[in-house]
Amino acid sequence: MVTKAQVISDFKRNKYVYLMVLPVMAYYLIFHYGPMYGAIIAFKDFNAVAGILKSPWVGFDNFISFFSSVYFYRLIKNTILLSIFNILWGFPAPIILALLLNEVRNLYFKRYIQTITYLPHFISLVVVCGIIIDFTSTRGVINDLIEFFGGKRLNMLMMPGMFRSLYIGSGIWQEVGWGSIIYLAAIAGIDQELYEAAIIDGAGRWRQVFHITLPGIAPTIVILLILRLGGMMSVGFEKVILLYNPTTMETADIISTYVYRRGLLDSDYSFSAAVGLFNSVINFILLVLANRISRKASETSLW
Amino acid sequence: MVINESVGGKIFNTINTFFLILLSAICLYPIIHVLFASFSEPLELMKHRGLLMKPLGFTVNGYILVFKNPNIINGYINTLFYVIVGTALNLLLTSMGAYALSRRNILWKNAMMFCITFTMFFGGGLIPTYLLVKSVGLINTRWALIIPGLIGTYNLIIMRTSFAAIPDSLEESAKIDGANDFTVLFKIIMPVSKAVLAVILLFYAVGHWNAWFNAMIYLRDRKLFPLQLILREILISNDLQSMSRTGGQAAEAMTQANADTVYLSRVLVQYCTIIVATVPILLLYPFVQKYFVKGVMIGSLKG
Amino acid sequence: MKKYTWIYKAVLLLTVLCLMFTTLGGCSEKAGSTTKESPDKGQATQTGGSANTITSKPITLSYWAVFSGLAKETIPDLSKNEVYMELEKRTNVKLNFIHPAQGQEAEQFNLMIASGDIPDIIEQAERYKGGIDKAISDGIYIKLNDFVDKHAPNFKKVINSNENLKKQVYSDNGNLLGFGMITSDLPGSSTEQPSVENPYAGPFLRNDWLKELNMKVPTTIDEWYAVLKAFKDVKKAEVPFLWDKSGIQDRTGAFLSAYGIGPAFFIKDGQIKYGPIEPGFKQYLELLNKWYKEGLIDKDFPTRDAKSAEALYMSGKVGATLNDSTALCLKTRAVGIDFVGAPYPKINANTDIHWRYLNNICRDYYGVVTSKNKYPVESVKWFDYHYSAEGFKLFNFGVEGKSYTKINDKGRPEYVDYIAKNNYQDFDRFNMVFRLHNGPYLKSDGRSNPRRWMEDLESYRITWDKQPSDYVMPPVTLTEKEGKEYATIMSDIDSYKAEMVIKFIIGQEPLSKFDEFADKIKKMNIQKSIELQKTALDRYNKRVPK
Repeated sequence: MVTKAQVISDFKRNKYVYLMVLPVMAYYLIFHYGPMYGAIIAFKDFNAVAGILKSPWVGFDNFISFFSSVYFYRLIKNTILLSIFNILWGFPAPIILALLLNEVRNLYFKRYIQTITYLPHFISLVVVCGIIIDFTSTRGVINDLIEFFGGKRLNMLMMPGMFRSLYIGSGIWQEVGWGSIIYLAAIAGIDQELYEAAIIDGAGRWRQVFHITLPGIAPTIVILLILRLGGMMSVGFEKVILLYNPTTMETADIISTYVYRRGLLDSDYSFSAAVGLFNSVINFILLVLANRISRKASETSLW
Repeated sequence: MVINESVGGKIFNTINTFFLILLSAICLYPIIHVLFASFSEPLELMKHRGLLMKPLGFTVNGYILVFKNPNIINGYINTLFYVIVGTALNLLLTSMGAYALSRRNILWKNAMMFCITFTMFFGGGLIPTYLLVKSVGLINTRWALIIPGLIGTYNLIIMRTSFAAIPDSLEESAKIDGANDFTVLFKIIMPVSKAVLAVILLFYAVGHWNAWFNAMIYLRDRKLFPLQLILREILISNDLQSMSRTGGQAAEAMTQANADTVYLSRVLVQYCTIIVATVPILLLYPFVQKYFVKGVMIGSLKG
Repeated sequence: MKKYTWIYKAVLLLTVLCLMFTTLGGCSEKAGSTTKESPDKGQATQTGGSANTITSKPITLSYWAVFSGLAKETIPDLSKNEVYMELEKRTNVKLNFIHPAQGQEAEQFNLMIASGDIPDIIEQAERYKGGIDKAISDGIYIKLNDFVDKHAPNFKKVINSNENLKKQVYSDNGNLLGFGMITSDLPGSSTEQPSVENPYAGPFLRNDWLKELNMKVPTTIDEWYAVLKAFKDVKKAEVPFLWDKSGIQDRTGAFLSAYGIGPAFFIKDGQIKYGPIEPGFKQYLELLNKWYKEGLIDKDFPTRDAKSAEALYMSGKVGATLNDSTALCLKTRAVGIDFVGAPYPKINANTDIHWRYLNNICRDYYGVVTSKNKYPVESVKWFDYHYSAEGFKLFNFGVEGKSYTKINDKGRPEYVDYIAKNNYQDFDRFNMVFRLHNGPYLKSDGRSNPRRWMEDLESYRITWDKQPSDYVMPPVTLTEKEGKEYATIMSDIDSYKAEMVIKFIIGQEPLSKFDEFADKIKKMNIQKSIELQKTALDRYNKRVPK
């Protein structure tokens, strides 16, 4: 495969590069790979005193405990659906915002809007969910609007069909501004001469967006999408816990909330580690697949 | 650039402007709500439902409660240290890694990228990491909040993608003139990547600003606590909801204890801590924003 | 580029400065945070008796304890608490406190054990995974039985005085669990027997509305129905009854208990039963379903979070609620809203309830001595002082002269002005500074807590205390293995039950399907959980100190 000669010549040619990356790899080796043996806690019955290495081995018991839950399929389904819809609606939103902001001519207006849109990102989740619960309740503001237009007052958080929309919609509200920052930076990095040349050639704004801007930030978009797909199974529990209730469990209950509730009954590191490992394996497979497709289809990929 | 707007263009501009104003109004609301609430009389606040368009009454008691905590000033100073020193080191190492991994013809590049990305999915977990940090002697030191998080893989990947998009001609011409990789990185690549550096700086800085979990785990000495950890304590001392999770007996005790905070509602304190925690970081953004100016690459390709 | 060089230089300079700062500062910080300094071995001391000084030479013990609440603004840790400072003077034992971050106690406890950084004394020792028995067999805590026999006469006297208490403080394996928070009155007084703290929570109604409607405080379900209907129709209340989010009041079991059951596991005729599969539960659900349909219960109850609940009762829109007495009443009285407590309702005058909120005599907070402790005898003696008459006064009231001037004829302290001002507004801010609210000692909330001196609020508690509680399970413990099995079974059952209960109440699921619901739970192996509880109960009943 790789010959010794190739290795030597590569080192000679790139010695400064390797020197540069040395502290980086050292960091990962020590602080990430060093503790990685701990992942086997998923296969053990963790005893704090014995430590991870000496705790008794139970093989796949923890996994089977998870798989045999009555709700297993529902949890997987809800987690995946929530992730997919979140990507479908939530991923393009910051991109679109960045493009729209890019079209604004007035610099001060642009900066003003940009600054305001990222503010919700800093409000803690508890407060945001408190606002959502208030607005969607039967006497809340949204129902006031609905009644005004002739509809019937309903508590929206008690409707399983509405859960995903509320979760994703509020997520977009909170994160679209912050998420657009990275795309704005990427747009700033596009060579202006390309635009000038295009205008000379008579291209309108639509054309410019599709033929210059989007291709210019395509690598960023692709990489971020790959990373996003690699987070498919890992939907956090905090926001769901704050918004769900027994009436919406059938669509709202996801893997992390189940593990959380289980942890309240019996704080079992091994169990949550096993579920985490299960999630990670699936996530990683998705990432590798996405990366491979991307490498074939475009020039951008992680490796 | 002089652009003659077509009619279609003018219509688009108008719609775009309206849409952005609407969006910013929606995004502005939560922070206005929090701001007004933080100055409201607690009893009025407790009764309130729905939209909050002005402070209910006026009081600064919530802020007084937060600031009379002697740990606050110390917390601010500590966080300032973590943000400045931490972000500086983060940027240094991340750009070194991003540069190295974005060069062409590096034999081990893909292997390294794989190893790094792998750590985003699989890790040892809390206890092995704690034991490692302990064995390195970082427990209860300031460096415990900087070294274990020295490089954010997500940020590294973004920066690498951006560096890879820079035309090779820049590097080549510099190398012909006798520059080594370090010179290329610091004198050529970084000046041209202001936008992405600004963004990653923002991400790291905000990350340090918001950090409390590592401080909670690794620090014993209150003198080293960052701001967010102090604020969390204030918040939880005044918050009934989280009490009920620490167990029945403790919840009773807290219920009895909190019964008397009639004049200083927990919700009020919650809002005040958000403002106290968020305002400083909001002041950082305008400095970062000016790097999102287009045309950073002008002049670099000439010659 | 110029811009960049100066930024880098500035950062570099700052880094160097900070590095210097921290290494210099760090040295002293590190030294201060070591856990133990044992200057010399403590001499063996006199056996228990009148002498307070535990050791002739001062010793230092590291102490892991929860330190929560508002006191953090005044003192950095418990070593500055007046009680502990006085205790150090009296006993010659100095304490180095280690406090977990509030809200993260469980994680920090586990980290502490896993990392091996175990202090000399641990409070809330029951947090150990697998229970205190396991901690002893793992070699982390020491077995206290013999030590207590020889060196803790006060504590021994207390626990031997009451059979129920004895069962609570000894484990299934006969180990003494530790020095717990025992409700009791002043040793040496006529009421010195360990007792049970009155229940904190129960049903409350708007007193002013009742008076306007000329109705009495309801005691039966039918009377409640009449009152709630009047609240809705006449007073036009937006929320006649603010109900619990889950549909069941787990803590008090109110309304549910009228049907002869408890909300989860309970004992009846020597058998363990699970409430939700009993016929009484169906009757409870039918009641709630009827009330929900008629708009007597909060329409949004499944999504009602604490903040909006507070908004409702503070603005006078709520007729009745289930709540903690002081928490509710003090707040609402500040805005002129008056709530009165009602007994837990029964079906009619001929039946009664058998399950209610019941405190244990010993409410955990176990203090234990660990295997790392070099002074177990002294530590036990030190703990024993907490349970003496002097210790009782110190922990409950604080230091005479500092927090109170004298004990009045009701046996209550007269707190100094700045604690007592504004009708004890800031009592809790000073609580953990001048006395100790929760901890391993003989606690008499009734004597020491000014909120218990409010006669009307106290009367509700007394009413609830008088209601029967024979179905309530004692605090049994499951072994680690049993606990895991229990958690596996109950997670799914709890989820299913939670969903179905709400569906039955709001009418999404017809009550004719109740039997299917009960059958499904049986299929999910509830019987095994019942057996596990039965085994634990049998072990509990056989508890004997070994």
